[in-house]
Amino acid sequence: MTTGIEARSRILNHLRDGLGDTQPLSQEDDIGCVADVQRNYEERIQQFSHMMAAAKADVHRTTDRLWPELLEQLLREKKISNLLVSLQKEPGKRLAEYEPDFVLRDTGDNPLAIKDELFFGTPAALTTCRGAIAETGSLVIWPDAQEPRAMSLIPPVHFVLLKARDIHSTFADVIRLEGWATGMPTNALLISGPSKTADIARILAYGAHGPRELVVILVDDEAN
Amino acid sequence: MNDFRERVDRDLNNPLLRSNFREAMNFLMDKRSSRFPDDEQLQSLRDLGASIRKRALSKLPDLLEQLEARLRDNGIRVHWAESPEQANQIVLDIARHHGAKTVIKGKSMVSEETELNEFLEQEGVTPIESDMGEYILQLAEDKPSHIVMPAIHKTRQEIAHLFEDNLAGCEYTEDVDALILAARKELRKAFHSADIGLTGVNFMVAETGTLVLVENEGNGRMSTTVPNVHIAMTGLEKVIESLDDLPPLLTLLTNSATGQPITTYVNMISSPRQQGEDGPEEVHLILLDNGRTIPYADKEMRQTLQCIRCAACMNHCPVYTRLGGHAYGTTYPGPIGSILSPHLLGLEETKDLPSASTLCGACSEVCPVRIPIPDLLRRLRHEGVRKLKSGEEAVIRGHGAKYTHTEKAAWLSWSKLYSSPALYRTFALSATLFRGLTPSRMKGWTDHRTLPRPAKKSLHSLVKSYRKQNGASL
Repeated sequence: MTTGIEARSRILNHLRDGLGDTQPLSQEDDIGCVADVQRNYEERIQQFSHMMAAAKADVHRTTDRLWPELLEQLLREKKISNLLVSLQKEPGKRLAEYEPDFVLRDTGDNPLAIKDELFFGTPAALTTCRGAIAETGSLVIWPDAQEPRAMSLIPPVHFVLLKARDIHSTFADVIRLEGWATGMPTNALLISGPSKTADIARILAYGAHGPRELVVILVDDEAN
Repeated sequence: MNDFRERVDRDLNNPLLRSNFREAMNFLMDKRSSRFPDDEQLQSLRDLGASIRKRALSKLPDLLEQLEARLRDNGIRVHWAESPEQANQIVLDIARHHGAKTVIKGKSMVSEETELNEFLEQEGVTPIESDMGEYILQLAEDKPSHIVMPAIHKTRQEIAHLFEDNLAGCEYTEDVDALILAARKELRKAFHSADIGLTGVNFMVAETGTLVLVENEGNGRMSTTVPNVHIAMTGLEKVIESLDDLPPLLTLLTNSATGQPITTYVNMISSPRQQGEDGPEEVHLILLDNGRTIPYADKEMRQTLQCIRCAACMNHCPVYTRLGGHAYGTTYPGPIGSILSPHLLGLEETKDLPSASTLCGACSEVCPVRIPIPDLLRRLRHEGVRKLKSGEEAVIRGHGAKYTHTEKAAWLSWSKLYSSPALYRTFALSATLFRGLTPSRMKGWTDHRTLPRPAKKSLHSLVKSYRKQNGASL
């Protein structure tokens, strides 16, 4: 749906008139480039962890077998007694089998129905991610019905499971290798640390509107 | 705008403001330079940034149509507004349609440009700013003084008093964590109950129909996730051709703005919520012209529209650093404001802005998309004092707004004087002979300085007599 039909045509006409003899440029006309940095598997992990730590996120490297135990320990240390997780996804199922000493709360089928719970009664959530970017220390997340957008935003502590082999070198690599241009989701996110602000006298404070803590559980398959 | 000089005097004579800005700009300049250690790589990246923006502008109307078609296919509604009034009315119509009482706002400079808050309040809809800086300003009934850090002119103590006076149960504290926590609690309630979320946009990707928002706080994500309706409002120049164009521009934007390799959140929105998902049921995009098509029609001034709003130009500007943002009197201050505002508001309203620069060139040295700001400032100065030839169309509203017969006559005389040796010699002789008659006050100059008296003898005559005594070589 487009509104303001007259405004639309006037604006486009102004722009077309304004083009004059301008020839459309193509990508081949571009000059300059982004410095090309190639990183191997271990370097990607190191760079990712370094950038995340610089943004005050915690990264814990573990194995596929040990991560539920690690998560349990982290929750105990943070004195968090319940965790929001999708029991329909693999990590949720794993946790349910593991029978941890904290309460597992399922996101269910209708994310809109858990809005109040998210705002007022969810101390922490665990989500998966699609991958990560080493260069900037960013998690790539495409929220869905089981792991909705609000899950990585509203709870004060956000745990993320990341498989080490899913860490790409750059954002440009992610876009190209995963063919993003052929189909974008409703919402794609890069998350590069806990929420923060420096709007008061340039002093950095964490937990502005989103999570105060971002904890990445890095599952390293190669270490198995 | 006509009391520009009064505002300059006011702000130059405010030592606290000057030291706040000096420190803040030093901080931002240091942060940026630490992120670009390799100059060769930086220059190449800037070349690429400029190429991407020039390429997008070289086919702007086509890209806007492509963007619109993709967004429409994705279920996002597109609105076109020629003026701030039209843009505000579109927001109000959407609010009325949904019976909305409150609009929670992520940071949007375009909504500052259209004075949306004032308009909505008059119409009985409550706008709530949620960016911490903007929230502080809304409580203080103040305006942004910087486009990236809007409340940079406020001290911690001022904010502490403001929160104590306005936030229920908030006691005076200068602890920044406590202040942020107090605002977080207050704004969480607002997010929970808001009917509409309104944000700006950093980039619009024509290829996929994607709106890209960058931020650190999470209020942009909250505004685009929790309320049932999301309205994005932006200038029509923010479109880029493809997703591949995004990573280099993101790198340039966040590193140039705050010296961050990336912001905490990069939020890419391509549709309203689908079956089973969360997020808004409706997403609207308002594309605002408000004079942007005017510089577009001039190849030189079109470069103004390359801007990605990083604010590096103001952070590095010696004039902005001394004045702060409010003295400019426009939504966008600093060097970019001085070349953009004349198009948005007309030169009549903004005639002093192109002169509010030393033309030192610091802005163009740091601009991530290589906008030749000093050249554009000089061009606007020229357009401001130039009379149109017969049949010539004005390239800017308020063309010739600074033209005066007196100035024209003065420069004509100067030109005659300096191009005729006989006249020049007569002038130099009279200036030295009658130097006692130099007036003690001269407008502008003597307000802040003592007027120099011409010397007894001119340099020319001194050289002449020296040569007479000592031979030809000086």
